[in-house]
Amino acid sequence: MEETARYYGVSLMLALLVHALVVAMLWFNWTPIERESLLVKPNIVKAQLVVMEAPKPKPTPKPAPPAPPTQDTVKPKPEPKPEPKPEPKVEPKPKPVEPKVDPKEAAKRAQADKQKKLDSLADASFSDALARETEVLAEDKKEQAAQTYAQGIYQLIVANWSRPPSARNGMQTKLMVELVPTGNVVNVTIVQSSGNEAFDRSAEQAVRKVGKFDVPKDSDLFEKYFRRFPVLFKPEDLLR
Amino acid sequence: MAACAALTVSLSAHAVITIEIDRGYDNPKKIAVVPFGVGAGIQGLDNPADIISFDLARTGQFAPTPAKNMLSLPDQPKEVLFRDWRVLGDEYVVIGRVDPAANGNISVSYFLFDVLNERQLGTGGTFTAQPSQLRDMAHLASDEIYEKLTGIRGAFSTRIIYVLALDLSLKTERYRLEMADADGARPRTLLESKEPILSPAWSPDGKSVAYVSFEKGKPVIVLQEIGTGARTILTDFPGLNGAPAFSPDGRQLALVLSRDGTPEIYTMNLATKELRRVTRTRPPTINTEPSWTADGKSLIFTSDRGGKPQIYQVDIATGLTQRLTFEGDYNARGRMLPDGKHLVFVHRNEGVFHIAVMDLERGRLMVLTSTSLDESPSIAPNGTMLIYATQDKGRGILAVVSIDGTVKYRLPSSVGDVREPAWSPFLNRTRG
Repeated sequence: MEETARYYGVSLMLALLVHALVVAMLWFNWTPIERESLLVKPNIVKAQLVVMEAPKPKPTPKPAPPAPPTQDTVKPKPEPKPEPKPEPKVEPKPKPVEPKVDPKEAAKRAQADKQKKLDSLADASFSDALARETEVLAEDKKEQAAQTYAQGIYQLIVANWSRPPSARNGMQTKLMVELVPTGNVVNVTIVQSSGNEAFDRSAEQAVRKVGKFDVPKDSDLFEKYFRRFPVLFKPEDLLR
Repeated sequence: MAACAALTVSLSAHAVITIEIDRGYDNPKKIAVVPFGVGAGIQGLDNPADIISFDLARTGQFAPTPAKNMLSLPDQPKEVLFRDWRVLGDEYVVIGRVDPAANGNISVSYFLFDVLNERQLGTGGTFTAQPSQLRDMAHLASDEIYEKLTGIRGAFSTRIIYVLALDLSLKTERYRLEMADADGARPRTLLESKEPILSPAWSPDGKSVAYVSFEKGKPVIVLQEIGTGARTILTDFPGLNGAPAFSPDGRQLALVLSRDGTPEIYTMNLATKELRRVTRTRPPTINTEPSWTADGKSLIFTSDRGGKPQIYQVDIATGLTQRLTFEGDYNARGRMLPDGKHLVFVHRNEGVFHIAVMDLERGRLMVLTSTSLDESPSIAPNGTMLIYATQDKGRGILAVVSIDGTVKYRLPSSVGDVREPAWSPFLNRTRG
């Protein structure tokens, strides 16, 4: 509560400053165009409020990555805020007569309510984001693991692929490789031929020569990615 | 890295990983050529397995397994146990037999197996001929095996011709036009002369050769049939008669004549003997060493019209000429590879003559040989190797290098000075 009060104080000071500015501008007969351009400035004030929100969630969450989603969820918030501006704008005119006290109390309450709403909104969207994030992270982890194994398979095949002299860059042979959970190759079929029998065979032989690949122990992961997978042979390192 | 990128993309698309293999290591293929089984009554012949092994090893694309390491010596398809060969790391196995056939002939048969995929490749082959033709049959088997395994037609049953100079600077100095198997075996003499023989060239059907002879005390171009030995003098003009080269269709001969002053390139219609001048330059320019492009529409030749010897290409119909070589101050004796995209020639670099190949599309030049005084490159009909003349302890010898420069070997020569090799076209010998 003390914190809120302090923030309130800051925002009040800023609000007063803005009001003073607006009054001054009106006083000096500034054109509406310039007023519009000035109206952009309160956005900076809003931005500061967002910054103040940000530290609050910080104690609760552990990871830093939530940053990008939070930014997304913050974006809609600016919409509710335009409301407070019109209010002060209308008030500034009466202000010259009787300033400060009454609007302060009203604004305080309004601000507090708003803050509560904002907080709960932020919390809700944050927990949503967190849940989504964990899902994505879990999925990512699986995919990362799958990629690591795929990378291992790539390296083994590359090291064992000896092309015939008739091989040329741009030739393509696609194989379907079938493994058992131990990683042993049980079947290799050509699903797309390069048209060069020797090149096709060199691809098949590369897989056969490896004979056994490292595959994930996790049977879900194995079934999903490595029970049966395509391998595309497409040389890019040949001289011709 | 490229593969990582490819992986990421396809991972998120479906729950399928397409592993993209973008490179490899092109090691020589391990192959076991098992000593052929020999039938009763056959004696004193080489084992075809030795000839086939040697053929394949010379390409640098195969590494034959020594017979002493083999765990079994099958000569029938049903005796091949893939595991035996897999243990040795062999990717392919060749087995076969030599057996007596009717009329004093012998038959050579072979079978080829893919060890890793555990299957027979093709149906193998059987050749029948006189025992003296065992090498021919073995080379034919090598040709078929090579083509099956590489996708490139084999050139083991081709031949080479070359000039052998004996007793140079002695009273008994003489020259021979020799023909041998592509591996240098079984040389025989097509012509012996006391006067120099130069520039032998094959006709595209492999039945005749043309060469320059000084038998008349001056150069003349001679056409000789290999089978009968019949000789015809094609040109005997005043001055230079040189550098004959048959067109791909065998109907014309490109040659150099200096009858009009400067050495110029001509073509001759072999049926009508009609001559047509192709190059027109002023003295003291030299135009020489013509060779044909695969389409027969252009000639490649050497000229010093730009000051230094360089290689040019001329369109015979239009006379339009373009210079092909720019790197170095001496490039000569250009020969186009069968693909029409690579030029092989003699290239001088820092005073040393090497054989070089240039990728005409990208202008990339690669020096293939590291010895000095390398000359007269002649390309195998399948475009994978070239034969050239070089020096060893002051003596001319023949050597072969692969077009990618990775494999080199020398052909054996016991006597004399060997020069100007010419590799034959494919010789259409049929299966017996």
